[in-house]
Amino acid sequence: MKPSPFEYHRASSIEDAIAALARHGEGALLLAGGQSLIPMMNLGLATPDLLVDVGNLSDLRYVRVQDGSLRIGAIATHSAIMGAGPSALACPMLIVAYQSVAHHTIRNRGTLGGNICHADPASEMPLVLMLLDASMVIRGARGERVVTADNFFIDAFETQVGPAEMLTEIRIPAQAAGEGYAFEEMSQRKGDFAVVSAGCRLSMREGRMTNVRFGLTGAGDRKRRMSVVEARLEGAVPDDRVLTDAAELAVVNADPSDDIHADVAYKLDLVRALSRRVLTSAVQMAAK
Amino acid sequence: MTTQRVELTINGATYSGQVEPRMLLSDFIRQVARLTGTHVGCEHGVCGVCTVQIDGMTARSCLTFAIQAEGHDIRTVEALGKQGALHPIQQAFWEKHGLQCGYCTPGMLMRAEEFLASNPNPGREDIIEAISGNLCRCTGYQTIVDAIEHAATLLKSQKAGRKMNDRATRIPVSRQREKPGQKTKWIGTDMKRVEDPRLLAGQGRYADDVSLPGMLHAATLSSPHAHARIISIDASAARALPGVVAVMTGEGVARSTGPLPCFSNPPVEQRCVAIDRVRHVGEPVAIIAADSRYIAEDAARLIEVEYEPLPPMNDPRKAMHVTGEGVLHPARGDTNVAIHRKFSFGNVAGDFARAKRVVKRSLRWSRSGAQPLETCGAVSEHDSATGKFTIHVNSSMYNYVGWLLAVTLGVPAHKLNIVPTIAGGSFGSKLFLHKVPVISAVLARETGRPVKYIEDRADNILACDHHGSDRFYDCELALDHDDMMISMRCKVIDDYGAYFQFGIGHHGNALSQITGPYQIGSVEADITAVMTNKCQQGAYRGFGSEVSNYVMERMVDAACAEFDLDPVEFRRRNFIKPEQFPYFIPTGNLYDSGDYPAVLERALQMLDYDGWRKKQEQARKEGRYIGIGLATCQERSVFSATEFWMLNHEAGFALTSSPEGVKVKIDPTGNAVITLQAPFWGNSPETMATMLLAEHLTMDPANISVTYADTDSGIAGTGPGGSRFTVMVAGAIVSASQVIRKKLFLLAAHLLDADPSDLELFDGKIRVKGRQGVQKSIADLAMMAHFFRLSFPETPEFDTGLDASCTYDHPLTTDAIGGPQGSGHLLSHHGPHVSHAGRGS
Repeated sequence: MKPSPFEYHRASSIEDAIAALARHGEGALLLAGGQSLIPMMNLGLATPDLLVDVGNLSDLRYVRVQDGSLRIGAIATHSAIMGAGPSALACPMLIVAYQSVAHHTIRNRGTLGGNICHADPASEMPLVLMLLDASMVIRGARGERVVTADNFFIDAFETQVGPAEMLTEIRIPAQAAGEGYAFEEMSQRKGDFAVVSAGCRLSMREGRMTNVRFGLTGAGDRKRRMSVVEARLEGAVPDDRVLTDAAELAVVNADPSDDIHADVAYKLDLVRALSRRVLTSAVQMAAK
Repeated sequence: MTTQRVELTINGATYSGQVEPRMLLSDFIRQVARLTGTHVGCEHGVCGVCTVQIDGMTARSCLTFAIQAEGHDIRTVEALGKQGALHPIQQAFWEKHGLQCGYCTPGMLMRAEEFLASNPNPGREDIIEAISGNLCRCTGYQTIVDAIEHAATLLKSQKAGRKMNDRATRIPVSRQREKPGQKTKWIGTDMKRVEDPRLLAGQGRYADDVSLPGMLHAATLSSPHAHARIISIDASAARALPGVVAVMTGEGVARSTGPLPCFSNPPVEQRCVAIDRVRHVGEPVAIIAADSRYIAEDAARLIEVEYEPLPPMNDPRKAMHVTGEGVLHPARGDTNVAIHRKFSFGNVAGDFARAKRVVKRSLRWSRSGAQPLETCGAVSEHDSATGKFTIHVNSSMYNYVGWLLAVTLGVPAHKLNIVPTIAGGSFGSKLFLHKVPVISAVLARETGRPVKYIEDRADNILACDHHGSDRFYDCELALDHDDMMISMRCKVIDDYGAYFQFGIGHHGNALSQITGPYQIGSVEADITAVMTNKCQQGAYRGFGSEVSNYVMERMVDAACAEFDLDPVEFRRRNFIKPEQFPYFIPTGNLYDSGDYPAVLERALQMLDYDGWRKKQEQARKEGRYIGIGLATCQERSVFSATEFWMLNHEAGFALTSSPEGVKVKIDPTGNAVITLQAPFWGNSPETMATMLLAEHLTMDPANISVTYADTDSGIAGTGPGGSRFTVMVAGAIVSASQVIRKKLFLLAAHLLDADPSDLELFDGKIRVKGRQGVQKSIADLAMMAHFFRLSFPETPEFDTGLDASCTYDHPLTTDAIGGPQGSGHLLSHHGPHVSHAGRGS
């Protein structure tokens, strides 16, 4: 299964990459790790005329803490991020969620930047970044802008990054001390795309949940974060009834579709079970 | 097509080529650098077979463009080690049998090396997690995990400076607990596989590793429709594409090439390229030969086909009643029912009439596909001067029915030579390949150049011609007053797909053990084979009998559930008892021996069945459910030819031979070459042959080579399948050993002035019993046998040479009950056939 022909340009800098995209117009795509794009090309599902290879822009490979947030260069690979000391210190939820992302060999080449720009609805990281209140730095011909994760992801395979723009950095505020967080998914085999995944983070203050973030993938086309569930949990005591009700609220607000992997009834069952689990785990962790 | 110069550093050496940006790193490594240890399995990042290292980190080479890898260091399995100088990780895989077909192995080794470098003391769970991105279709993974565990130990001791003894023939201590009846030196020992050193080093020669001068690459355009008429095909743009050498449609192919081989009677006609109708998604509609696979696929996209969709048949229960437009093979009759036959043995009606209780179930067995990591592939040449084809292909059965491909190609059988390549797994799906080798041969004849056609993953999934069983069952099981099963009857609707290459042979197979291990006295199977718009069924694992095992055990469990019987006791009661063997089941098949109660007892002990039942009871009280499953099945093996037709009174070709052959040659230095007539599928034929010959001729395995005959030089050999190969080739090797021993004894007797009956073979020497030092080595005798005819008497048994060519047939084959023995039916796909409209044959 071979890809269709394309022209290739190896970018020497971010500016060069953006200029190449602008010059070519429609049909040009950025190539970073290629772990999402190349399989689509081999399967004939993507047929760009021009690939602008930004994989060698080593300046964009950093993972560091700056001004209280984790700064990740757009070309940093998943493996590099998972293995970087700053990641574990500042945003341990990332590391936990990464256990569910693909396989070691894919993570060696795939970049977080590329993954979120691809924005596959079954992908875990977009959800995690929304729950972590991340923001993305996008550069174009007219300069830079910063977009919050909630706004960055528009729809399946669609983000705020325009045709002649490039994501350059992901910024994630360091998680607060004492936070509880959890991420769980159900997939056919470990490493596959999730059928349903659930994530949660929260803090406890005087026995009540606060700063709750909660969301799902695989639960429908609507946005991944469930503010309705977050609102129900905010300020509440995390007893059994509250958590159960929250899981039911997630089910009510979920709108999954049938597909070859699972039908709606099973997916809603997963929503209920996984929501309950991540809520319980996050609460238990925060209570320690 | 713009190309540019790409220079890559692989294993420390520089390779450059003028290639397109879209060339995948996997293809660059294999075709430009000609390092074929890195294999291709799926080309979309799922299987891990293509794993290499880039800058010390594993990467999927099918998800990387070669041009991306410029300026980086690429490492492949060839850098790890070679035969005679294996890397400790390769050595560990060899010692722990961490490979069978070898196709996933290079990728596993690359990942293992990376993993162990940062995890020198891994636990088993760590290893399992580490290799979770690499698929294996043969081993079941446990031996791979064992191998990596062992590798960690070897690497540590390597670091500690201890010398590793990795002589290829070191035999570890046998782990057998029970010794066989006689003392053996090689048989039954945990011998490291003879096949492994080259597979571990990435030097196995699979179909895609065959490269001939001037070779072209083929691709197919496949149907996007499940069922449609082909109205027109315009290939002009495809033909005009630079790099394209030939484009052929079904009509063009049919001018020189006939239907593919088919063993059903009457046959269902299948062509390697569809002519006027497509019958499943993925069926080839055109074939292209071009300078590269990339260009061939580009050309396929330029072919315009006008289709008139027809009603798609995807449910056999509906398709069997359809007439008119929804019929797949109208020339065969206005029905999608290929065969409807009722097989009845014993007094089924009477037994059901006297039954105390009857349990009924509807059961479903869904279709599957083998998905070997290596797809089907062939490289063909056609010599226009002699009219002879040579086809390199990863098929089996070439020395059995391979000549049928010559018939399809329209040449006499002796104008076709089939050369086997090793196969990266088969599980049945490479049993007898026809479409893939014929496509490559047809294009070779058309272009006058060698042509390679390797299925990509999509081709294999959609169109491999070997899907597994796909059945709907309605069953009834009758029990008498003593809770004995007395009769079973099933109505089966089998979704055979678009073609019917083996007829209902899968049911013949099932019927040969239809009552399982039980004393059921009568049985009936009402079988309807239905054509639908899917890839056809072929050979997959149990070849149909795994389904009847499932059905039998489900019915047994159903009876237990419905009548509140204990599943263990019920089975015990109904087993054929040890003293009842040899035992004929109602169909006339013979079970030669067995002790089923003892096997069941052992299984229950190994599981701690009673313990688990207690846990289950406890868990129920807590509202938790633990499921405990039990199945006691027959697994007939070493199939014989009669299995496929003995229950079919109108068999197309009632053959009774399914032998295995072998040639053994002792060279002038006393070393042996064994020539097998059947391929390597991951099933260790070389190791088995070496072990057997070493034992029978008291030779050192290091002095034995194994090779594979093509069809020109081949003798009869059915090939692996149905767990038969080791048993059958053992018989042939024993025969060959006896011939050679006899000659050795004759020669030695003459030279030692003794009687052959006074001689014995011991440790590679023929010696006179009881007389020290009066002996001749096999090497001495071999030299004499080859060069010194005049040193021996004139009689013909002393003629020059020391070799044997033997075939081995089943010592016992059940014949048909009143079957068409010697009725002289023509091979089904040759003779002219009258279509039997609407009649079940």
